[in-house]
Amino acid sequence: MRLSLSVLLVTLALCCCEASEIVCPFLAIDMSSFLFTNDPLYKLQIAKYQAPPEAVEAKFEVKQCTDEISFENRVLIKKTLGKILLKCGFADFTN
Amino acid sequence: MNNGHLTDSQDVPNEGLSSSFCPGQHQLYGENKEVKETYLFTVGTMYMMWEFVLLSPGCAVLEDVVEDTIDLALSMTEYLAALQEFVSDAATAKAVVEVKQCFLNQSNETLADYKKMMGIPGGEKIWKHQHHFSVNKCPMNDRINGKTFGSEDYREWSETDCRLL
Repeated sequence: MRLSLSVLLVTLALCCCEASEIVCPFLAIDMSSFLFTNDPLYKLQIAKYQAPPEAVEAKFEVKQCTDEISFENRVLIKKTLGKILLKCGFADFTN
Repeated sequence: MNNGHLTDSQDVPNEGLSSSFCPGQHQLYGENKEVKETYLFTVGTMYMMWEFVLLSPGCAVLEDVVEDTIDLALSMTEYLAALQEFVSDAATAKAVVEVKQCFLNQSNETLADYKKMMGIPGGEKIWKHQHHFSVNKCPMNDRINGKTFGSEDYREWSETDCRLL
């Protein structure tokens, strides 16, 4: 019983590491693409997440606004995102 | 000496250990109520913890920043205070304020729908399964090969855009 519990805990620890290491950078990459990718391409890019249509529509409503932010400011936002990733213990995946 | 015959105690040398050290099959498979409950509790706890980990984006700081950006109740001053560690100059502060303003301009309904795309409370947290999806093939390649890709015009697409995929 103790052995099986230990094995389960080790397995969980490995799952935790894997989940954190994968999901966080993907979210950051999506946020970066959200700022810099044009609409038709971004629509294709987020299609793989199989999100509800209303969620996609809402995201593009916000994107219409963020697209009006100057390119220089969007670069600054991307750099800020990079700093957050470094704080999380990841490399800057947004470059 | 016992003339080469084994006594009962010699016949089963580990008899005293068999019940505690080598539990019978019935105990392992849960006929014993206490063992069964312990297994169920362990498996249930493990599953809940595993789901909890997968449901979070993997970084509390990033999650907090995303949540603060979308939160209509959070004022601009509070937002900048929350981000002060990452905002080093006035130009960056102005940039993040512009992003925040984009969300403040949206309706509650739009933001509720937007949350479905993000790994934050109120959303459906689709990010927990994102690593199972394969990367889309870049339509740029089809255009280069002389094929048509849907009905939209892809002339403005660049190789840089395609590398993002």
